[in-house]
Amino acid sequence: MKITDSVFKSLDTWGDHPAYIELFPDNSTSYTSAEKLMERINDTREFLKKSGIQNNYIVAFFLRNSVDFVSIFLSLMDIGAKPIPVNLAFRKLELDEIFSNSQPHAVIAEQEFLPLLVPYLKNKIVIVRENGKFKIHQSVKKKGAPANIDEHIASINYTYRGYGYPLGAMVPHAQYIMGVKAFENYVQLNMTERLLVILPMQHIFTLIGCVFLPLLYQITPVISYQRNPLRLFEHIQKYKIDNILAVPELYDLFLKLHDKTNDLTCIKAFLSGGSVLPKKNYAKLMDTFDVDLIHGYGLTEFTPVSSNIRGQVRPGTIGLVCDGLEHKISSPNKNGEGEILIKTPNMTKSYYKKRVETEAAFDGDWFKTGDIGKIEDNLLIFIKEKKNTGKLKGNMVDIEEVKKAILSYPNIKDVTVSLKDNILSAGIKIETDRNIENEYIKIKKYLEGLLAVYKIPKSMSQL
Amino acid sequence: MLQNRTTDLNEEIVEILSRITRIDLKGITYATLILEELGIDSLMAIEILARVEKQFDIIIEESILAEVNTVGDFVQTIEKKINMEN
Repeated sequence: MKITDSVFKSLDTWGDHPAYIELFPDNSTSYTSAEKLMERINDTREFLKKSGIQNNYIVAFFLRNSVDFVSIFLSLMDIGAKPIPVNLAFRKLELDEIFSNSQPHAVIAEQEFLPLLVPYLKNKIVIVRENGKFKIHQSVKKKGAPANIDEHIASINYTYRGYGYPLGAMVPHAQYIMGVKAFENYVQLNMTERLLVILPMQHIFTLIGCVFLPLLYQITPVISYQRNPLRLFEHIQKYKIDNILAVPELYDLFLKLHDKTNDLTCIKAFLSGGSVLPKKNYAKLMDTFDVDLIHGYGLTEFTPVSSNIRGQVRPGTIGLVCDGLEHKISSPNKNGEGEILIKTPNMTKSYYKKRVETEAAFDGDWFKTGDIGKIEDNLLIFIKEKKNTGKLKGNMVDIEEVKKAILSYPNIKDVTVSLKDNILSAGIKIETDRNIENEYIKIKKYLEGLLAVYKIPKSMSQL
Repeated sequence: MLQNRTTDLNEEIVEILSRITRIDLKGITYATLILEELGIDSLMAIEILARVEKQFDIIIEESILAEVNTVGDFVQTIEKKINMEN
């Protein structure tokens, strides 16, 4: 069963409340009914087919949060194509790997990203989105042979496991279906409630929590194009937002910037994930905003692995493991800490065209999360990452990738990279006669073209 | 008067930048590069904008920090904004 079947069924029985509300930076608002959304998906599907996209075509897309993002994603899935929702922050190193690995048949992008993508567009169908409309930018004379991917795969979502390059997780429809059900069991949102969407839709957390959950449970996502908390407070009041999904660092900003002039009494719940939520922040957030704070943990390969349950929150934990997801701690030390392993038939079972990395990720049927945790009173507690990656304010950083990027700069002989307390630092051994501080600035400018900007070390020093 | 206002504005903005980036005031000049030297990421950027908005009672587009290179560019942009709204 495809997730899109469930989505279309839900849209068919939607009530009068909007399927989407979009809040644009020019202060205009757009309301999309379920009926209009379904029309849009149908039109998009026909447009994509006419452009040459077919079953088992791989399609990389670079779109901002929008109803169009949702429409493209669902249409591609419905055609049987394999969408790759690409992180808009990615630059040359990341894109080189994604394009050489996936060899997409088509690319769909915002007009402004076209210059960045030019090196990758030869012999591909290219569709651009400009001023809210899609148009064919480039056709192909000869249709490429479809990829050989099983129909139970819904999408290919790139993630990291510390190898220094991203891996394409083959996400099955069953993973989305099980994940959304599990997430709703934890967060218990009610039909017709409104959910503020701020995080990028490319991430699995946002896909599950802000794209599929609202569609299946008839909740209205309110897409904000702005992330300034002062604007968000205004939106929350004006549009009577019931719930927000964000990373802990954004909630921390809410705490810093909130004052008595903001009436946020309509909010019922903060859904939190993507990075660590310190125990001391729980009480502060819940008391300041008088909300349920539901924090959990997940992976591209399965989300949510675990979560606190609404009304039964245990600060400092990442909650109960998802119903139906087997789990264990591998080789626990004397404190009970070890690598978290999970198992379910409804999760990513392989990385696209990466047999070695796929084999290394599994111990039999058990998936090695690469995260260290322990279980206390049946609740999962996150300790740290084991794999050579780390979270920087919700964004994943592969340490090897950053090292590789820095080493490609001329005359650098050696580099160490570390991520601690949300600061990415690099120790560099470079042969240069020039002023070293100026050299660090040059290196950072060089890295801007190679990597997502959040992967550029904030601090550099000599090794 | 304009000179004093500009000096006050400069000092207030630099203070906000210093507080959020945790870089000493002495380390921030008009020529300091926003990304490469202050290391401002997207969350820090929106905090800076929000604090400047609150301090000067103006509205600033989020795209602004992507359009400026130095602290000086940022201060000038804010000054223009304040003058427009006045």
